[in-house]
Amino acid sequence: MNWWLNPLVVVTFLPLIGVLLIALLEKQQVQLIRWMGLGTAVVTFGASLWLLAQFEAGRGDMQLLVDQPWFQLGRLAVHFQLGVDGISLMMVLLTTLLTPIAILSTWKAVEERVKLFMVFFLLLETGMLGVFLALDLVLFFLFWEFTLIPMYFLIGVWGGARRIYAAVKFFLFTMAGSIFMMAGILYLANAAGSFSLLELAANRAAFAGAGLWLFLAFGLAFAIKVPMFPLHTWLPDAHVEAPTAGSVILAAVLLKMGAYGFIRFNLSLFPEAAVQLAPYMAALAVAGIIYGAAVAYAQKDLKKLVAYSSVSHMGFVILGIFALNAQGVSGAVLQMVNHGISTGALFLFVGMLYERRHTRDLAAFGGLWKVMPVLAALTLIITLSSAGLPGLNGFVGEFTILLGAFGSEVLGTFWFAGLAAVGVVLAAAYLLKMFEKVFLGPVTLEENKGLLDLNAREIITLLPLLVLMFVIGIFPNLLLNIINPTVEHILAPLASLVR
Amino acid sequence: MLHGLEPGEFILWVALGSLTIALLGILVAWLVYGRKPLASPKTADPLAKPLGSVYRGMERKWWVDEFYRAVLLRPADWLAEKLAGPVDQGGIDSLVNGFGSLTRSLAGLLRQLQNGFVRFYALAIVFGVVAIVLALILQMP
Repeated sequence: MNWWLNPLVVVTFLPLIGVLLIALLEKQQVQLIRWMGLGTAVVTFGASLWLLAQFEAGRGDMQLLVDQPWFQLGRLAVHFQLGVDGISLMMVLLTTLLTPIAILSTWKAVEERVKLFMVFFLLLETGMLGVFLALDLVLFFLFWEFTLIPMYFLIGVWGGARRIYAAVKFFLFTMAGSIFMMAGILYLANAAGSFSLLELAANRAAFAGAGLWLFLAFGLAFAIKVPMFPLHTWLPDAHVEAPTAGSVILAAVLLKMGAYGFIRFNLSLFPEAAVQLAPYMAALAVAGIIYGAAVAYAQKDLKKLVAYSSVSHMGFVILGIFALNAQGVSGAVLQMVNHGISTGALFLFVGMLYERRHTRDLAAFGGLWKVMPVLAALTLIITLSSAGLPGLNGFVGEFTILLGAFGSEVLGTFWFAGLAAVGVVLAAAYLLKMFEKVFLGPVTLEENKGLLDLNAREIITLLPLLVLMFVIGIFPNLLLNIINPTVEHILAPLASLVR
Repeated sequence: MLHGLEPGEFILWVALGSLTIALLGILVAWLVYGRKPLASPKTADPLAKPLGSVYRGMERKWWVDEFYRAVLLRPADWLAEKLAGPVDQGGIDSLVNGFGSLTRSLAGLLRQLQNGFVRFYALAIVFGVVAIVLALILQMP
């Protein structure tokens, strides 16, 4: 089989074919461009299902490897090396599912420069997929940085009033972290003579002495992306200014790149440092959970509320990762998928309100259940999924994470899990407050009386996410059977370090 | 059937006792309200006087909601506002923006060196050469 027919290569670069086709269209053919963008994203999703079919679920190591020599840097060879395991597979499926949904949400929301918008959006998809599949550190870094460019333009061109400030802040924040990661990659390659994650992981002795510093260098880049408290202030600005589709992808996929990086690189390459720093990481995670929830509670802007809720929810993911046991890390990966689904859906809901009222001020709503019963019912499910109601997806992830954190030998105390559990209650508080202010009570404002309920396109946009909330909530093993072997594989080097 | 749970035995006096209490309650309710219904919702309750403060307490559900509002909700609201305003925007985010301003002002200082006067650059080169020569002389054994 030709290497470029490998499903990983096909999935990663299919969006680029869509970019080429769209580039051939006249920019006035707006509707055709939209359909072309959506079609490309749907075909890419189909290809990721083909990848899923090729994937052997019982295995924890890298599969379907692609390894082509690319270019030479002195004695060091950079390879075009891709591979997939249970964790990256989850992230790939999340990306290919959310991209067509996000594109569908732009149908009426993006009217200007549609061609450019679709091109950036599909470029962003290739960048994100590359991040989750690259095994060569140079290739990973290229994809990682590449995602910045389309996102920068999506915020900066199609964003709100302070879009330039938000776009620059997003860019500079991420770049500041990436610089340290790049230095770390160069150090690793010099010490161990390879850019390949697999070879580096097998040759950890070569750089074990600098493990702590390398952990911090990679960790800073990932912590900004997640974002972990107190590096989170770019997120509310980026979310508030970004167009709906940008917010959806930012929350659902781009944040996961940070958590994914922690698992893929920090745990695999620097396990000693991970064990040593785990309590500090867990402390920051718990601080983020409580702090994010409290700040979300005080927000008057719907998008800011959801943005800060992400700080809180992603804190759970980090807590799970640094419990450094099977439950914690599996729960974290599951919660990464869950957060993508429920927060993606929350931003879609905010976007649907915004398209009708052109405001996101909580005070501008109230009583909408009577005017838009369909949106209200669907949003109630989304809200409860995000709040972790048993039976829906969010519960399984948070519960598994808390279970892992309670039993974590590395963390050594139940206090992290105990305080994090408070965050579950706070999540219910700010989410139900949001729901109450928007949907319950009488319709107080004249402007809200004539609002139209969801149309078919909008329902179709939300439906796949709502179905998944139930499916994952009731049958979490569908995902855990794929995630667990990989988690065990990644935690194997840590076993000897943990008492 | 759950493991380890024995079915409980039937105790007659417990069953009869609770039934009697319930029936007595119904009887009292009928005596007080049933025989002569209140004329309107605004009519004073016949029990308000004899029960006094107990009645007022029950009417206000013992101020549990008010208690929660004062002890939990108000402080939580206050804390959330402070975290979102002064701490997050005023503290953490100001620090981030402060880095930006610092870079800008440092760049502003450095910019003044690039003043476009060739004589100034020549003078800087002379100073540089002198410094290098001095350093070489001082390092000679």
